[in-house]
Amino acid sequence: MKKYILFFYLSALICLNSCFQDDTTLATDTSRVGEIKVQGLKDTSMIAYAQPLELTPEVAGFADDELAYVWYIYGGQYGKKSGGYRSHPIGEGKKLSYPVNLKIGSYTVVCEVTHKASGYFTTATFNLNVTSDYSQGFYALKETVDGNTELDFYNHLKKNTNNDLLAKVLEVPLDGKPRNISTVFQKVHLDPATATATAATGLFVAHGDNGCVLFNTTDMSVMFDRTNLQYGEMEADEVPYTMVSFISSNYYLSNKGLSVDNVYDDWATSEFATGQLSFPKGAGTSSLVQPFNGSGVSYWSETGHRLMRTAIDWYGGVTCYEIDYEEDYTGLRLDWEKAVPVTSGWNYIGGENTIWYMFDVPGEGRYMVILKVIYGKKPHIEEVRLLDPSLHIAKAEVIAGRGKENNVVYCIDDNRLYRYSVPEETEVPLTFDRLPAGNITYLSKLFFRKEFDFIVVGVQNGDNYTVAMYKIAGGQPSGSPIHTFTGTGELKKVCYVIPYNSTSFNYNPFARYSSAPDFPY
Amino acid sequence: MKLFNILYAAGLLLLTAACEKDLPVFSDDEGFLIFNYGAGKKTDDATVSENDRRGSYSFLLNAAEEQICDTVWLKVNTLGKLSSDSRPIALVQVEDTNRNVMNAVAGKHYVAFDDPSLAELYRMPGNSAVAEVPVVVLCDPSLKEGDVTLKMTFGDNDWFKPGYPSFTTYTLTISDYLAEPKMWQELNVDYYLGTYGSKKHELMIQWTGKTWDDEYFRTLATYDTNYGYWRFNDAAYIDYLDAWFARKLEEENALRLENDKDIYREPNGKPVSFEPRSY
Repeated sequence: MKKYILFFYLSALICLNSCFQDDTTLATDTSRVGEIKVQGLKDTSMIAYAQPLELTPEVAGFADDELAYVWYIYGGQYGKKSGGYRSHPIGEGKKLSYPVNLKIGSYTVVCEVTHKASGYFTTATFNLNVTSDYSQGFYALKETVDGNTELDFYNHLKKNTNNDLLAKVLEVPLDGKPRNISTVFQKVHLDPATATATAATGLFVAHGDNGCVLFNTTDMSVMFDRTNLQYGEMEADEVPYTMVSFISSNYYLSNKGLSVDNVYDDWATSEFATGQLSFPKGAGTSSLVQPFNGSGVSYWSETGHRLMRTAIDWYGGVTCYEIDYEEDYTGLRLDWEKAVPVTSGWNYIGGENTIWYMFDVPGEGRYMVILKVIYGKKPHIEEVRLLDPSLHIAKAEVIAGRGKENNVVYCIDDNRLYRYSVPEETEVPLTFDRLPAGNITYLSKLFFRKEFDFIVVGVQNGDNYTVAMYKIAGGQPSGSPIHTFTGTGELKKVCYVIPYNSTSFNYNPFARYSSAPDFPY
Repeated sequence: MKLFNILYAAGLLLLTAACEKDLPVFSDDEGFLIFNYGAGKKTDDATVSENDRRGSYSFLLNAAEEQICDTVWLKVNTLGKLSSDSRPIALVQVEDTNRNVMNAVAGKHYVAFDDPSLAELYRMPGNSAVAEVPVVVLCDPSLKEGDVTLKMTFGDNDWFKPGYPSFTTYTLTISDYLAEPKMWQELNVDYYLGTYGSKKHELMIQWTGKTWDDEYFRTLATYDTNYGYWRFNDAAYIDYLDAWFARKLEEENALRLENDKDIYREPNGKPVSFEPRSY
């Protein structure tokens, strides 16, 4: 009897246990939703208020009516991705047609694909750069025939040139000879409509004896000039040199020192920030600036006649220090007081950063001062090298380092191109294919992330210049120029602008698992 | 058969357990009081620091020249059920046993909390969970020489008991000279304007016309609820002010030396300096 009772209860328990509806999807046909793969969405650039963004993703293995599509956007005018990506839906359905009536900036578009039967969903994202006629392309700084400062703009996407820009937006070129241009990302300034902080990519132009203008590349309006760049009145003898973005800060360098503010997306930037700067600190700087390590930049101090570096403190303040030789350094030492700066560069290859400064010392020759920066090692001056006077790089006036994936320096001597290998200390001649006739007066290595990597050469022919951009293969210019543009005046420098949101500009080369720089200085 | 009975009884027990009893409606009339240390300071201890439990009052900064008393208002919150009645709040002084602390004396440095003239002000209004209670501070001449500390908590008065222990004390430093605002530490001002000094504070007030007390610092800063601390709205502006102060100090010191006067010094003899503390 006992056995029967026990058996009865056990059976009842088993029966109860079986009263359970299996609603998992693991063992059904819908398990294949895990294989939803959204393809065909690529990073793209659009001009604001022009064509709509139209695209259709590819999802293999499902009928269209099995899936639901919702599109979202964040970044740019919609701010940071706080609270998830679903704050700003922009469309439903497989085919997106979205009028890009957005402020200039860098956005992220999210395509969320849901399997209707199971509710399972997946997402695919891509970057959308919303640009204007001025916000993405190459700016050429030039000296006009009458000795003033002008800009030409080359749109590489449309392959057209907008010459003499300042005469159009300011009605006149800037006074005095051009001294420098540089790109400043995520520069904070006040949005006049809301009186709160906003940001744009800026183009810093140094001109004349002591002039400077920071243009907003959204519309080429003046973001700051020397009358309002600082909270206090800029001293009459202050000479602005340059402005650069590094990690989450923007650095302003002048003959009075250096000041720093945070980029817009940095956690410490509040809606009340104005983008105006403190008085510069430390020794006077120069336009020669490169990163130093993962926490600051290095620069040549004209007043201190020293190589200097910065360190950003945890509370956002900046301190400047001299760069020393390594403790056990026994090699050549440079007489800093006699050193005349020539140029500087930053080469990256496989986790090793070679940051170098070149100096002429009258009566001695040309020196290369090398800082090696490897993750986990304290950077110092690793080597001072007197360049072999028989090499072209020892006398060239046009020099371009700033490389990635190589450790070479290019130079022009007697109108010919040479490549100097930093580790091997050897030099080889190279040629440009289909280079216009004239004197080569400008050379640089320009790159932006994985977008492009060019050798940029400027040829002067009378009052006209031509810029030619070559791809690089095997460490040399490859084939015909990818881009060329021309203008009148004397070319001084070319730099690239793009709406770009980040709080880690050029940080990756110094990280533990490093990768190439984002852009050169 | 015995086993059958046991199983039967167990089944009945299970059935009984399934008869869920309604929980009683909350009926505890006991009330508790805590200090409201400000926005973002929730009742989990992690958001509260010792600085939140401190404040300062300087007659020199806040009162007119002949003024002999002033009022500091403290915000308090109730825990527990609301009451339609107005309920009395009992504040009591606690001795601060830290070394070098001079405890405030009722009647000399502040009006006693049980003074009948204040009784009507120490009340939680009916149907309210928030009240502001006064601490009436008295300008005793001794406050020019040194500050006093008034540490207080809530008394148990049948209406209210003290609430969470980490929210039931408040320490007010009373002085008649310039005292360091607690925001100086909250905002790490040492790293922008250098370490605090009363002469430095006096010069900052003199040169800018601003009080540079807690209230003024709060106009320059925001409490970041994500990270749980105060930070300046625009650090570049504070950096600029530091440079401006340093230049002004240099100019004035040069003038003083020209007129055979000593440079500006803190009470301890150290020169006034706006050199930010280095990290």
